[in-house]
Amino acid sequence: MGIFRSAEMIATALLVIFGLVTLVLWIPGDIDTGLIEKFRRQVYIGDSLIPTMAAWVIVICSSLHLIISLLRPNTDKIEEEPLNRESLGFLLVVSMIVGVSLVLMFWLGPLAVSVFDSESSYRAMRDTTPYKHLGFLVGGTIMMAGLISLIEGKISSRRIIISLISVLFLIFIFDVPFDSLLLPPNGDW
Amino acid sequence: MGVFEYVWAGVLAVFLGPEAFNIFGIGIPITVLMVIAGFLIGIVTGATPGLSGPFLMAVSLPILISVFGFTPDALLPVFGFLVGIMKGATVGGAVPAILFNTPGTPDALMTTLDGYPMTKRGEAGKALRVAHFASASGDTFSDLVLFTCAPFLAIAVESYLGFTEKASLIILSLSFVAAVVGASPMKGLIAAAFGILLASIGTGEDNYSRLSLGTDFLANGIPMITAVLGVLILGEVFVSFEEMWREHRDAKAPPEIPQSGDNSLSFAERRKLMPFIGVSAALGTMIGALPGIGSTLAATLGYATGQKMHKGEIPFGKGTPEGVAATEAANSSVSGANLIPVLSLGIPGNVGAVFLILAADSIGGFNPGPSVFRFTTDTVNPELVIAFGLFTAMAFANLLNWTIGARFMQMVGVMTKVPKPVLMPFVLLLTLTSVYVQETSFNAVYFLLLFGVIGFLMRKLAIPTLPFVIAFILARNLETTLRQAFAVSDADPLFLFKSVTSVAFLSLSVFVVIFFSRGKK
Repeated sequence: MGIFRSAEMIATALLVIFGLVTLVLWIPGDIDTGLIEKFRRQVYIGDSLIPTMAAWVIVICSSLHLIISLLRPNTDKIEEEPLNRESLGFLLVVSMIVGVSLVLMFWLGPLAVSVFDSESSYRAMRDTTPYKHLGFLVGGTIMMAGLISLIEGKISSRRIIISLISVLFLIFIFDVPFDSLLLPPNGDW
Repeated sequence: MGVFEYVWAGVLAVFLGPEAFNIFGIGIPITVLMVIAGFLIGIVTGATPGLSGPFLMAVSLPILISVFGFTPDALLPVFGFLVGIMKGATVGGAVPAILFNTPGTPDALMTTLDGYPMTKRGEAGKALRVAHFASASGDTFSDLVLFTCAPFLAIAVESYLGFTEKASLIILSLSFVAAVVGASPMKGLIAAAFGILLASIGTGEDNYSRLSLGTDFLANGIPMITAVLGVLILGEVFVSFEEMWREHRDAKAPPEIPQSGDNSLSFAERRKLMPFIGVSAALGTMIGALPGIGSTLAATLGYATGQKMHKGEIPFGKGTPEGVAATEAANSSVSGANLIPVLSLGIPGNVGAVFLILAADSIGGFNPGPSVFRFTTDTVNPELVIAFGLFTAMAFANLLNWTIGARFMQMVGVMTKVPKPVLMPFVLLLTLTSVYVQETSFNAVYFLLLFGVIGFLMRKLAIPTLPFVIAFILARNLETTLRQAFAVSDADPLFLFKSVTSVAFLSLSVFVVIFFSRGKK
């Protein structure tokens, strides 16, 4: 069995399970009205109908696809870049780079305010340079430089400078001309 | 108001609308300015390998909405910019295909077959002129079909289809898109159902936000923009990250080839190209009018048909201008016709149309669909004015294409030198920033990344993303229409089977799935 085919089989089986769990547990447990509801002698469609139909389609089509795939001889030629451990590992590394960058983006500004201007809160300072740009500048630069380094397999000072310039460019187009726009994370504070 | 007064009001809304600034006392309308900006940036984007029109539409939409706000006045400038991008990117996609054998957009792949051999002969200038002439002709033809067909189709839909038929029509459209996009109709249907299921989260008529798992995070539902951008744009960005990581190579531009051949395009040569352009434009328009079938298929069919028609001394694939013309006319004529199902039925058939719907949905005051074309005489239908304003913006973008498009196209070959390993992380950060700017909450960023991962996994498993996105967008409309149809049928459980038209639509839904299942995996 080809790598692509086995990955697809597992994914399709997971979809069947997801559909069944949705039908048996999620929809009955997380929607208060049924498929059809009666209220003051009026009959109307309940909130469960559309999700139930969708879940049934997922279960039926996934099962059919699984059966067809099992019956079909293995002629699959899409072997170039299947969903394998390498892919998932790569996705994990990307997620870590993005995750660390977002943590820095979110917390660096408030942290800087608490260190350098402990009298104020970040909310009060979120429209003040450099605090309002600090998280985005550092987090954004690390995100870009980290991803470029991962893709190219090397860390270069040139790419770090390009990342920094790119983030400054974003600050320039989003923040400088528009007073009403809030860069991350300033809308959350 | 009469028909012509509505058309005129649409034209005036573009050319006499709010001013951006004054030059010597003459006001420059903001919509006109946005169409020009969108068109020029679209050409640059199309000419950049790795970027495409929908990419730019996706990242610019939140910025545009943040800048112009949520008032009806924002609709035409935003639509104008998006339409400009659509048209510009289509033209620009041919530039790297011809100059460097690297298609700027997927639908320009066939352009490389004849465009690059022409460049190698020193006729890059001629190839670019042919591509521009064919592209502009195909686009104009397609727009004319849109302007004439969409209103009539919408009026017919509004006159003859009730709630039941409209619900069945949405089901038919989803089935069609699910069946024709991707390798397997089953996968398409799974994607569509998944889209409907996720769109149901946090919505409904009951006080409790359904399927929200009791969390505040899901209680208000999933912002549409995060789901659409995540699956369509970030999913693609993540896949390209992995491809580049596997290849470990810089996307260095190939060396430039000196151009000393015949680089002009005479009137007689243009006339010789017209049969190829005409056939490809008709094919592309027909394909574009059907939901889900993209410009790549149009380009392939246009090229194959042109190859059969061709009797010249240079065969297709060896650098014949007819090959470039057949491809470019076909893929460019898809963009106008793509808006036929959006404006007449409210059903987005492709990615570009998805962003127009998303813009309309975010701004408000314009609901693409058959109700737009209500020619009310006693009161003004503002949506109809906007629709004709949109047509005017498209026509203006075409005019730009005919006048400055070719010249600008010759200047953007330098974009091929932008390294993709730098470009794609920048696109990721730009998308995150644009979505944050609109939603002003990190929750939106989390949703966006989550849907990016879903888009990545779907691509890796060869599950088509377009049915997911279109189903996500149409889910609310489908549910509302089903509720209304059920209510007017006096709660008849077989309400979908009580009308001949509805039964026909539903039968056709089953038929297209079975038909396209044959021969596919």
